[in-house]
Amino acid sequence: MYRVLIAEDNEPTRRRVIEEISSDISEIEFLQAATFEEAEKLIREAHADGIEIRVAILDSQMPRAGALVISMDLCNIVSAKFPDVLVIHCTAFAGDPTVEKHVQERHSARRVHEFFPKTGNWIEALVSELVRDKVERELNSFFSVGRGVAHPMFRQRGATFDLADLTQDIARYWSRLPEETRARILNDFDVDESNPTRIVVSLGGRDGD
Amino acid sequence: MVISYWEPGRRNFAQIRRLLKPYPVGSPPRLILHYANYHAVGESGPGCHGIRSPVVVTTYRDSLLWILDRLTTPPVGLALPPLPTPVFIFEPAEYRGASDPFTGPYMGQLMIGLPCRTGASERSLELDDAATAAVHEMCHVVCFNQPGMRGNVDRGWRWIAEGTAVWAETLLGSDPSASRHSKEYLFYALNWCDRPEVPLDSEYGMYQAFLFVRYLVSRFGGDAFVGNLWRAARVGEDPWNAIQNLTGQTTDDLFAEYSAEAYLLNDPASPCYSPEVFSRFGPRALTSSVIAVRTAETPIHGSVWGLGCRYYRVDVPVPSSLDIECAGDEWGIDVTLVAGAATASYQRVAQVSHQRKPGTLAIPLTPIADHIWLTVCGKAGRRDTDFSLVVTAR
Repeated sequence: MYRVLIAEDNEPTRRRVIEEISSDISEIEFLQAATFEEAEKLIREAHADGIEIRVAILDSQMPRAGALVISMDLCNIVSAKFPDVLVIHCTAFAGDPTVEKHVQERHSARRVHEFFPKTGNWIEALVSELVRDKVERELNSFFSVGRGVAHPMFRQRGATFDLADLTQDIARYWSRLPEETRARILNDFDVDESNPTRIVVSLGGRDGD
Repeated sequence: MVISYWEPGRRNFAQIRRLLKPYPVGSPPRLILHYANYHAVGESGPGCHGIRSPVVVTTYRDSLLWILDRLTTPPVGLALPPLPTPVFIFEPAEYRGASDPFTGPYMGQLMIGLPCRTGASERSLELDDAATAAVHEMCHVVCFNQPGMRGNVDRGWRWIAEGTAVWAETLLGSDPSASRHSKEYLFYALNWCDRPEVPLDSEYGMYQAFLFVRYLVSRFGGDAFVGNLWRAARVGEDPWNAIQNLTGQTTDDLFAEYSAEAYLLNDPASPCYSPEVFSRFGPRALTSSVIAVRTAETPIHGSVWGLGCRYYRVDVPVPSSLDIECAGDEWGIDVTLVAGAATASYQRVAQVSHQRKPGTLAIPLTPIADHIWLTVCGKAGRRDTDFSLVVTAR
């Protein structure tokens, strides 16, 4: 399950983000928090229950004990509990020095990235980032990159459904994937784009040495 | 092309495919086997992608053809895949880091990837694995090639697809005409016995669903049920709709009945009769066991999630009858209780009863009854549901 934490105090914004992500990505579950404390509780509970949070979408300012605070501590908490989490900071205050400092210090060595200023089609860009992350995670999973100890009830035998998820998502999201991800995919798969409404993905790949 | 055998690394499928040669099997061809011999003469050495013994290939071939025939002739009678199925026998670990067999998309159809080697200590174990893997993957190819599936490995059907594929593996253990007799499927029975609370149709329960398929086959017309189920399969539809149509029962009732029967693995009269599972792993796991004392109330509390269930054993020192009070509003809405009396060898004595509404259920105890078993069943789509029972001996 692709599980996403959304810490956003503005309820309409939270709802809109969830709606737009849900319309594009299936098999997804959201953990919603309107305050810093709620988000912190969800992170700790998920960790205690062995539930992995794959993505954390954090508003840069969150209410904490009745006051607005910069939510960078949440990034530290969720990253400590879930080292492979993709953290996305959203801010209405592009160029905020506190936030930029945090990104430089905490995110430069990690696979997490820049901000999404809440301007223009920022939710669309956010969804594209999640699509990229989901497909790359499926690639990593199928090709056993960084795979840990398998859950004994889950990975007993067979990769059929991992492969089905991966190829179906490649077909579905092909036009939205960044060049780097596409190049990686083409190493192992044939992608037939002759019919743009029905992209066909097949095992194959580049026939190089 | 130079392949450095001393350095393990991932090669892509195109590179590996070039090392293998295609061999059509059957007339007209039903399969195209792609493989290479470990020590080929006058060809590229395929290294870890080579077959050491032709017996591995013949075991794959015979098992693939046997299950293809078994699934596409009466009583199952499913449609044959429209084209010969490509089967690649190689070392998947060199390709993707894990040696699991798999079914995947290939040039507009479904292909099968099977391992060319194992580290099994004996050849017979390797061949058991080979036969089982071939049957499992070919079952996927047949099921997902039915007209309503059109070659799609549809997400909603995956749990029942795995249940069907492992059910097909069980045929290797019971059909005298099987290509090889193997009981590798018992591997999955371990977690089925130990984790009854795992929802039947979840990703964690899908391989274990083979015992549900066995129940359906036993209860609803034999192997033909599998054919009817997959002929009814449609992309994007919920398999429970097809199961309901074929059985005439609701999902929740069917699950409750199946769960209760699953306690009676050793009872030849039960549609879940599986003596080989019972003798290897015993009955399904209890959540707890209580001793009901005459006139004293013994509470039981628990929770279930979706189509998962919990078993409770109640011992009654002085046989007479047992009252079970379902406390709370969740009964019949979120959970179902099925209760019965069993012998010491887990065979049914008293008729199983459903409890759908809050109230008290009385079970009469006969001298041959050894204990009462309670099955608390979750319902489709319901999440974590707490429940409470009170048992009292009379």
